[in-house]
Amino acid sequence: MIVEDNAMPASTPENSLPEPAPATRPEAPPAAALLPKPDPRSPGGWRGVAHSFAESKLGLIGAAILLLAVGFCYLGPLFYRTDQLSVDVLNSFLPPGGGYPLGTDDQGFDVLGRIMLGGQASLEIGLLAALIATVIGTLYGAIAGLAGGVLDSVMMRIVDILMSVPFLFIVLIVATRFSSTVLSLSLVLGLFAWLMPARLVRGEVLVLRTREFVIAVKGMGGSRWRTISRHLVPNALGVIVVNVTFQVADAILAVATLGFLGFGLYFPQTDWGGQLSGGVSHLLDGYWWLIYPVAICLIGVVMALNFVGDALRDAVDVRLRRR
Amino acid sequence: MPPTTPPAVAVARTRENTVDPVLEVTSLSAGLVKGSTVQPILTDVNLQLGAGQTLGIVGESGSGKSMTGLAVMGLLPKGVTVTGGSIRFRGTELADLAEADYCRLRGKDIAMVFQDSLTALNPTRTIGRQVAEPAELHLGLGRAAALSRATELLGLVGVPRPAERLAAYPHELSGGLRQRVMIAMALVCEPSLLIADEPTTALDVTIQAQILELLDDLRGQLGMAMMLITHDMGVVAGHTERVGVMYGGSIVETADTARLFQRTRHPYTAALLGSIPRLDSDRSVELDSIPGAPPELGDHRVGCSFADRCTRAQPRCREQTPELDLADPEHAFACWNPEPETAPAAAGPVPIELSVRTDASAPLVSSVPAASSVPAAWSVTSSPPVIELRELRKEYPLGRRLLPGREVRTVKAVSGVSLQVRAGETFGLVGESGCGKSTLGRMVVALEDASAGAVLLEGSDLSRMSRTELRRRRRDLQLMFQDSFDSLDPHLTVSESLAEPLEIQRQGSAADRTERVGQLLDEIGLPRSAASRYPHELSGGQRQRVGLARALALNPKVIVADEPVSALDVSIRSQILNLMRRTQREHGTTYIVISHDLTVVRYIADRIGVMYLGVLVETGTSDEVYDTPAHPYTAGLIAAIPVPDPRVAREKERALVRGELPSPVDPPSGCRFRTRCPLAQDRCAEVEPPLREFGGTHQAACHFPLIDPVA
Amino acid sequence: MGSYVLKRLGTSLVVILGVTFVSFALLHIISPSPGRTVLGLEASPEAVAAFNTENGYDRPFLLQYGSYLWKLLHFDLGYSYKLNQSVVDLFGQNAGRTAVLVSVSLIIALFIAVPLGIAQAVKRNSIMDYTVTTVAFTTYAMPSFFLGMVLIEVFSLRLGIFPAQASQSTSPWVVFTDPVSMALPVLSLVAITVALYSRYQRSAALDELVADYVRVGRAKGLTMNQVVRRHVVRNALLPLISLIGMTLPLVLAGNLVIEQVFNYPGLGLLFYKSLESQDYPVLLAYALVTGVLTVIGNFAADVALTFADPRIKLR
Repeated sequence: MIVEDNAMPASTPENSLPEPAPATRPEAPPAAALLPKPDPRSPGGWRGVAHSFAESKLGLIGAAILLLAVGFCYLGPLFYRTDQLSVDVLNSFLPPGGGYPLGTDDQGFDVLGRIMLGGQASLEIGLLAALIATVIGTLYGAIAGLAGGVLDSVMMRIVDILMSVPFLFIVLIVATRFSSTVLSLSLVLGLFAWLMPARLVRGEVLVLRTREFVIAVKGMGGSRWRTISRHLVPNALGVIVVNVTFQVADAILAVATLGFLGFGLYFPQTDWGGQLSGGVSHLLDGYWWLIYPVAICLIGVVMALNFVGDALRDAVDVRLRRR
Repeated sequence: MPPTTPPAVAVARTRENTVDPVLEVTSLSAGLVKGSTVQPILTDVNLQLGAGQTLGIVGESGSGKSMTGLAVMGLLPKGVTVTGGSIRFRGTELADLAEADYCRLRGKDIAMVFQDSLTALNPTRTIGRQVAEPAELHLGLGRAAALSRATELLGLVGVPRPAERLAAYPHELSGGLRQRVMIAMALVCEPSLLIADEPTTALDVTIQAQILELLDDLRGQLGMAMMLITHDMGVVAGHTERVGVMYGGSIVETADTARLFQRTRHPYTAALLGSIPRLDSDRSVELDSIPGAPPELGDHRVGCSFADRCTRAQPRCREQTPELDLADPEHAFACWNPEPETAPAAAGPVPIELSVRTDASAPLVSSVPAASSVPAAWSVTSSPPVIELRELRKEYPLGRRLLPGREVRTVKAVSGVSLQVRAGETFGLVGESGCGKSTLGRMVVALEDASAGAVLLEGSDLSRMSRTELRRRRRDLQLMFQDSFDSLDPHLTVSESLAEPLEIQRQGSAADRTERVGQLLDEIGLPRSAASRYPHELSGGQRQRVGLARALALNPKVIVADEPVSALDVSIRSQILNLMRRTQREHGTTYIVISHDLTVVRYIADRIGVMYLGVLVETGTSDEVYDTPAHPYTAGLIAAIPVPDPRVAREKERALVRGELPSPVDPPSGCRFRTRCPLAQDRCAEVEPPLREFGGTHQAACHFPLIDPVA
Repeated sequence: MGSYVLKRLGTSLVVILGVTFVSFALLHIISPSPGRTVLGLEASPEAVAAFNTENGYDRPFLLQYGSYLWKLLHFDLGYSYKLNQSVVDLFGQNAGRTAVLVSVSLIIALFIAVPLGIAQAVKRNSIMDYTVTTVAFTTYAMPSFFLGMVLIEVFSLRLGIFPAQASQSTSPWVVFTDPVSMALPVLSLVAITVALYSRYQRSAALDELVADYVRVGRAKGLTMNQVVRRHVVRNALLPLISLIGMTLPLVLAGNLVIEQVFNYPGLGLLFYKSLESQDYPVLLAYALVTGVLTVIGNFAADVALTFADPRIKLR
C-alpha cells in the first residue's frame, strides 16, 4: 500500500474526526530533532568531570586546602622573610610571641618560616615521586595490557613479586645507601611506588580494549596507534589522574616516616615529616608549637589530597566511565 | 468486569465476592522529596485488580510502571514517598501501613518477581535456602520443612530434578531456570497477589513463552491475582484481562484488554501499537513512529505529558492536565482529544490504521513507499553476491592448554555457515542468544578471524588480504552496534566520532569532512547543532542515530547491524528501523541485520537466515520463512513471538520449543535442534541434516520438515 | 576447584622464588663486599678479599644466588656479623612478640572495622557515617609515629592511664600477661588498621547493597536488617578476605614504626636497629620473610575465598 505524505485513505475512521489532525505541520521538527536540553551543569568530556567534581563539597574543600597550602609554602616566604640558614642557639625553643608567631625550634629557626620551607620539600617530593611512579606504572601497565598473553603474565608476576615485599622496607634499605636530597628521595620513592598504577592501568586497558568504541576503530581500519592515542589514553587518563593524587599523599606520608626513622632530608634542608618527628621528640618538654602547627599542615594536606582523589574518582566514574 | 466498588462494599468484603477487588489503587501519587520540593514520580494512578485476574501495566522506560509495582510492595526507592491517594489490598490500606506490618504482608500475601539479572538471587546462598526463606519467615516452618516446601515449588515451576537443585548456586543455572526459581520463591506462601515486573525481558523468546505460560497456569492453579508489568504490548495482549497504559507517571488509558486493543482511544496507546512491527504488517509501508523520546521519570510539566509527541495535540493539552475519566469504568482514558470511538466490528486490522497515523505524525518519517527495497519475487539472483560466506567456522578455546597433548575443549560458536548476500539486499539473521549470530556478524566485518572457511567481499577472501589491503577495504564493511552508549567514545563529540572513519580512511580535506558530518546529521534527522554534543548529552535513540551515521560515513557496501534496536524503547525502535530502511534505499547499501527479535527482522529484511547453535537451519525470503516455515525450530520461534493483538494471541498454540539451548561446547550429534524438537526421531541423532530446497530461495536443514521439499 | 588451587599454588611458588631473587639481588647490590662491612674501613684490602673468598662472596652472582637458595631451603637466613648471631636465632627471639602483637591488633581491628564499615554503608550519608569517615580519613592521613605520639600524650602524659613505653618482657604473650603496658601499641596498630579497612568495608558493602537480591529479599518480607544480616554481610566480607592478604605489608610497615615508637622489642625494633648499624643480612632476611608471608597470606586468602564464594570454583 502506497500512502502519500499527507494523504488519508478514505476508508479510515479518521475522516469522521470532528477536529482532524492538521494535515501539514511545517513547523513540526523531524522525529529526532528535539535534542535534550543541554544541561549547563553537565557538559561532556573533561569539562563534565570538572563540573561533577565541583558538586562534591569535600572535593572542593580539599582543592581549596591544597591551593592554600601551595600559596602558603611558595608565596609565604616572599612576604614573611626568615633566616633558615644560620643556627641561633640563644633563641632556641622560644614559645610563640614576640617576633616569632609560632616560636622557634631547637636550632633557633623561626617555626612559621620553617613550616613554609618544609612544605616546599614535602610537596615537591610528593609530586615528583608520584609523577615518576605514575609514568613508569602507566607505561608498564599499558604495555602489559596491550600485549596480553605470555608477556602480560610475566610482567604481572613481576608486579606480584615486588608488591609482596613491603615497600617501606625496601625504601629504607635503599635509603641507607643514598644521601637524602629532595631529588634522591623522590627517585627512591617513585621507583618503588609504580606497582599500584601499573596494575590499575593494565586493568583499565583490558576493560577498554573490549569496549565497543575501541572495536569500532578497528572496524574502520584505524591503526593501533590511533586506538591508543585517541581512545585508550584519553579514557584511561581519568583513572591515572585520580591515582596521582593518592600517590602524592602516600609519598608525603612515606617521606615523613623516613624522616622519623632517621632517613629524611639532611640538615639544613627540612620537610614536614622531619620537622614533625623532631618536634615529637620534645613531646615531654611541652614544646607544643613544634608539634601541632606542622602536624596540622601535614595531615591537612594529606587529607585534602585524599578528598580531592575521592571526588575526582567519583567524577571520572560518572562522566567518563558511565555506560 | 470489576467496576468501581462502593467503599461500603469494600469494607464488607467477602472472598467469594468477585466484584471485590484484591487490589484497588486510587489516585495514587508519589514523588521524590528534595528538601521542601517534591518532584512527582507518579501522578493520580488508578488501578483495580480482581482475584484470579491479570492486570497488565504497560509503558516505556520512565513511564512509572515499575514504580507503581514497587509502591504497592511498599518498596519505593529511598527518597521517593507516597504523597497521596490510597492502595487498598483486600480491604487493608497499604499507603500508610507500618513497616513491620508490611514485612508480614510482603512475600506472604503480596509477592513480586523481578527481571532476571545476575544479582537477582544472592550469589553465595544455595537455591534451596533462598526459596525456603519466605516459608521459614512467614509460615513458621523449620529448616527441613521449608526445604521440602521449596522442593515442591521448584517442581511446580518446572525446574527439572528439583531436589538436586536445592544445593545449586544461582550462577550454575541458566537465565530461564533462574527466573523459574524467582517465581518459585515468590509463590512459596501462595500469595493472593503476584506482581511480576518485566519477568521475561532478559530472556529469549522461546524461554519467554514458557515462563509466561507458566505464570498463566500458576495463576489459575493458585487463584491469585497478578499484575504483569512489561514494555511489550504483545505480552500484554496474550496474557492479561485488563491493561493500564502508563506514560509520564500516569495511567493514560485503561480498559479490558480486548477492548483496549480494538477500540484504542488514547493517541499514545494508538501510536505505540502502530510503531510495533508485526509478523503480518505490510512491509511496504513504513512503521508509525512517535517523534522525540519519552520523558524521564520525574520530568514533569504542565499539561498532558504526551502533548509534545502527540499528533492530536491541541493548545489545551499543553495547558491543562487531562485526568483519567472514570465515568466509564470499562474504558477510561486521560485525553482531551482522543482517537474517535469505533465499533469493534469496524476496527480494521491495526496495520491499516498505522499507515494513516504515520503520515500525520511527522513529515520526515512519513510513509514513503518502500517497495523498491522489497522485490516482489526475489529476482536479483543474477547479480553477484557482495558477501559470500563459505563453510565459515569459529571455535573459541576454553582456557589455555596446560599439558601438552591434552585436548582443549572449545566453544563451537559458528559451525560451517555458507550463505550469499547480494547488493542492495537486507539479510536478517535471527536466533536465540548464544546461537553464534553475533560472532558471525563480527567475522563478516573482519573483527574476528574465522577458524575455518572464508568470508568473501565481492569475490576476494578477507583472510587472504594483506594488512594494508584489509585496512583499505574496511571502508566497505561497517558495523553498527547494539549499545549506543558503549559504541561511542564518551570523550569525543558527535562530529569527532562521525569524522573519525573519514580521517582514518583519509577521505577529503578537513573542510570536506566537516561538510560530510553535516550531511550525515541531516540524513539521520539530527540538527547540525548536535555535532558539538557529547554522547551522554543525547537520548538513546539519538545516539543510535549517530551510530548509524558513523556506519554510513564511508558509504560502505555492507553494514552489519548487530541488534540495532534492542536496547531502545518501543516508540524509538520504529524511528531507527525506518531510518535504516530509508538510508538503504538512498544508498543501495547491503545490510546484514542481526536480531533476536523476529518481528524486527521480518520488518526490515528481504531474506532471512535462522541460526541455531552455530548452524544455519533455514533461509529464504521473509515471506517464505514466515509464511511457510520448514524447520520446526523456525516454526517454534514464530509461535513464541507475543503478538500485540488479543484475538490472535488467544488462539495461539502453546509454546512449541521446550527446554533450553544446549551447551555450544558439546553440541548434540546429528541435528543440533533434536534435543528440543517435538518431531525428533532416531535419525536426527545420527545424521546431520543437509540444507534442502523448498522452492524459490527457501532452504532448510531438517529430516522431517513441516512442508514438502522440492525434489 | 582442585585445579584452581593447584594453579594458584604454582603461581605462589613462582612469586616466592621471585621474592628470594629480589631480596638477594638487593643485598648483593647494596652490600657487594660484605668483608668490608664486617671488617670495617681500617681492614686491609687483602683481609677483605680473604674474607670474601672464604665465605664465597667472590663467586659469580648466580652461583651465590644458588647457594643462598640452598641455605634458605635449610632454614638458614644468613648470619648477622654485627650481632654475631644467625638471623634465624635472632628472629626466633623476636618473632613471637611481633606475631602476637600484630595478630591480636589485626583481629581486634577486623572486629571493629567490619561492623563499622557495614553500618556506615547501611546508614550512608548519616551523621554517623560522616563522623566515622572523618575520623578514618584523619587517622589515615597521620604518619603512624605521630598517631603513637598523640596517644602517648593523651593516655600517658595527660590521663596517666597507660605507660608510654611497652613492656620489655621477653615473653611473646605480654599482650595478654601485661595488657596495661601493651594497650597503647595495640591501640595504635588497631587505629591504623581500622582506618585502612573500614573504608574498604564501607565501599564493599555499598556495592552489595545495590545488588538486586537486596530488593528481592525485601520483597520476600525480610526487614532491611534481616536482609543485611542474612545476605549482605557475608557477600560484603568476601572482598575483605583478599584485602587482608594484600595489606599485610602495610600492616607490618605500621608495626615497624609502632615498635620503634613504644620501644617494643620485636622484629620491627630489630629491623630498626639493623638499619642504624647497616646490618644488611638481617634487613634483607626480614624483607624476605615478610614477602614470603605476604605471598602465603594471599594464597591462603584465595583458598579461603574458594570456600566462601561458590562462584570461584567455576574459574
